[in-house]
This record gives sequence, C-alpha cells and structure tokens, in this order.
Amino acid sequence: MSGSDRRNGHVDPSARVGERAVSSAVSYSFIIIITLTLTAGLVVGTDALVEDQRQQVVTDQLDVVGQQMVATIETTDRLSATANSPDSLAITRDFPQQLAGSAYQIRVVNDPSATDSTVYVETVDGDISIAVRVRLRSASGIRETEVAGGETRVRYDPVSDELVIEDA
Amino acid sequence: MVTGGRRVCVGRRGQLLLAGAFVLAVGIIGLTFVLNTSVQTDSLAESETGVARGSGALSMRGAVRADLGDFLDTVNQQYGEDTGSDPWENYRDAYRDGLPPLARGVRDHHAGGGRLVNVSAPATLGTAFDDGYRVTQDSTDSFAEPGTSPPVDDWRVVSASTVRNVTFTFDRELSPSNPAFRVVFDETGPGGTTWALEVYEQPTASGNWELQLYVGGSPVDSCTGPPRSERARLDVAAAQFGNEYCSALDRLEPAGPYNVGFRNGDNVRGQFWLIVDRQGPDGTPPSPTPPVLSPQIGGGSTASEPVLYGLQVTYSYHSSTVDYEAPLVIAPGEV
Repeated sequence: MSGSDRRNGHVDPSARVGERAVSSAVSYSFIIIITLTLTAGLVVGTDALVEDQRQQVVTDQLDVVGQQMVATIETTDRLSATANSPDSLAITRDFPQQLAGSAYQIRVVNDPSATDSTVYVETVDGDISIAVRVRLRSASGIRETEVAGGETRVRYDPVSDELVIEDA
Repeated sequence: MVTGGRRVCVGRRGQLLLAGAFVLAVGIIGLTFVLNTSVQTDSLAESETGVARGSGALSMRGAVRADLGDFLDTVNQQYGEDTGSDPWENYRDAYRDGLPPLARGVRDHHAGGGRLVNVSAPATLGTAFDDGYRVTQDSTDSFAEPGTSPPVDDWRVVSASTVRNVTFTFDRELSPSNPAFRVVFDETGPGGTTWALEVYEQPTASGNWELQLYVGGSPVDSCTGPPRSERARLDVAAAQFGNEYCSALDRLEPAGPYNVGFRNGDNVRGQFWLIVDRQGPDGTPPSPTPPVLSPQIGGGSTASEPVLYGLQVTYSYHSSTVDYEAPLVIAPGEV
C-alpha cells in the first residue's frame, strides 16, 4: 500500500486483518495475565479471610470449652458440699479432641494470693488462649494440672479435699 | 483459516473457564470451612446441658433431702409413744420400715431417664440415726426458767449442741422499758462467737415488733415484724418474722456446738419449739446431756420429749457423665 493510497483513504483489507491478528494475541496474553493475577489475589485474600475466620472460630470454641469446664468444676464443688465427704464423685465431659483443626489443652493455675483458680484453655502452639476464673465454695482447691483436650474428668479427692482434672 | 481461529478462541475461553472454576472452587471450599466451623461452635455450645454438667445430681439431692425431711417430720409426729428404756426405738423402726419404699420411688422415677438414683441406709445402722429432744412450751407463758420462784429469766436451755426448727410465737412484751428478751447462741468452740436475737415491741401505741441480730455484741441486722397488737411468729429455719422474710434470721449462722440460752425471759410471754441434737460432735452425748431441761423435770410450761434429730442416708446418682455417692445428713431447719 502506497502513501498516496493512505492519503486518499484507500486501505488494503489484507493489511487490516494482519494488524487485528497481532492485537488479539496481545489481548489474550493480557487477559491471561490479569486473570492469573486476579486469581492469585483472590486465593491469597480468601486464604487470609479463612485463616482469620478459623482463628475466630477456635477462639470461640476455646471460650465455650472453658465455660463448660468451669461450670463442671463448680457443679463438682457443690456436689462435694456434704456433711461427710462423698465416697465417690466424678463428672466426665466429652469435649472435642480438636477445635477447628487445632489441638488444645486445659491448664489450671492457682492464684497464690487468693482462693481463686484460673482455668486456661489454649491451643497447643500457644497462639490462642482464653482464661476463666473460678472460686470454690466447698473443696479446698483445684490441683494444678495440664490435660489435653478431649474426654476430661473432674474428680473430687477426699484425701486432699481437692478437685482433680484428668484425662478420662 | 476462520475455523482454525475459532478453535484458538474456544481454547482460550476454556482456560478462562478453568481459572474461573478454580476461583469458584476455592471460594466454595473456604465458605464451607467457615460455615462448618461456625456450626460446630453452635453445636458445642448447645451440647451444654445441665444433665451433662451434673446439675441433675444436685437437684435430685435437694429433692431427696426435702422428701427425707418430710419423712423425718412424719416419723417424729407419729411415733412418739414409746417411753421405755430406749425411747428412740420406735423412731428407728419407723425409719427402717419407711426408707425402702421411699428409695424405690426415687429409683423408679429416674430409671426412665437413663439415670440410677438410689437412697439407702448406711451400712452401720448406728450411724443412720441422730437422736434428739424436742423442747417445747406449748402454752402461752413467760420464757423464764421453768419451776423457779422468783423466776430466773437468764438461763441455758441447751448445752453444747445444735438445734433445728427453732420457732417462737410472741404474745406480748410485759414491760417495754425493761431489757428486751434475747435468744443467745454461744459457740463453745475455741474463739467462739456469741450470736443473739433480741425481740421487743416498739414503745409506741402504734408500734411494731422488732428483731435485732447481734454478733459478738454488735448489732448487725434488724427486721420489723407485725404490729405489737398482734402475735409475732418467729421461724428461724424459714427466716420469717411475722410471716415476712427477715434477712437478720438468714444471717444467723452459729457454728456448732453452741449453748442456747434465754436472757430476760421473764419480760415476754409466748410459746416456743425447738429440736436439740442429743449427740455431741464426736457422736456421743456430751455432759450434761442436752437439753438442760430433762424430760422428768419439765417444770412450768416447758417440756421435752425424745425425737429423731436427724437421719443419715447414702445417696447415689449414676448417669453417663456423673458418678456420685455421698452420705447425706438430714436435719431440716438446722441453725
């Protein structure tokens, strides 16, 4: 195609087809790159969202387990309140082995300056931990201990007048 | 050429669809995971039931206590005729006869719920009973020591023991200007505290009965009773003064054993009832045997008679989560 033809507005149809073919290839490349980038961003974003949600779920479930554990301790304490010590007293709770895929443990720490104890329910890696305080009215205290999640027993020990938390 | 170009376009579109499907799959998997864990949290929270936690054992223990308390009251009311060498024998027989049907009822009631609840007598029958005396002043009289002239108005009713079902009715105060009547609970243990209930009429024509609780000589709480023109009923176990709740009575918690005495007993007229534990803390009757008033003396309007102070049973509760067995001492209304 000569310069006079362009000036006159005449364009060779075969030349237009060649230019369009080049444009499509570039466009497709761009589309694929953009698609991959968006996909990668979406995957990374979703992963972060899921991880945040998982952490929240684990925290909620630790909280639920902690509250149920303390409620069980308080019930055991009330059951131990008799004129003579109970011959046997144990309450077994079937907690999940894992919470949202995370293993966890239950730990009891006594406050040396008070009559309170604190029950910690925490993931094994220590990332998430919740604490619930408990005060006994009848038994003299809770034995300091650490047990893995799962089936757990709260038992009254008449010899030491203590509550003992152990794996069932 | 055109056909080949379409093939290329279809291939690219397929890749796009693949990428889109991948994104969609990741999203759905993430959403499923989040929803599943949320549902699991709900389930975990909803799995908390009182039965699993053991509150069933607690409420059942309360029901058994109430039933046995009623049973004890019935036994004490219906089997008091025997005055032989062992005046408590009739009560014991009534207990032996009455406990098995009561235990069977408790067992049957809970068998359907997958729980084994039982009440049984202790292996050693001697520990099943706690002998006592009911001290009463059934007719309206002053609360001075019976059989004394001139009346001794400061005297000990119970010596080194515990009491339950303490009830008074006050007819009138003889002289509001004189020191008020007091019931004193004097703890006999080391460093024991003195608890006292003072009852008097307000010194005005439209006044009411008043009750004041003292601990260690200091006033700590008070209640206003009915108008002084009416009789005032004082029920320590129910914490009621004039059929109204009285917080001061709820705070009366002397640690046994304690002496129970009346002060200024000659300044008030009325009736009273109480049940005294015959046995000391070590299980043997202390000396002098409470109450100070013996059945033979019974001077004035005051008398005492043998009754059962308390019962002991073995209560057991077994479910899928709870394993509980404990001795229960039944002494309703114990101060």
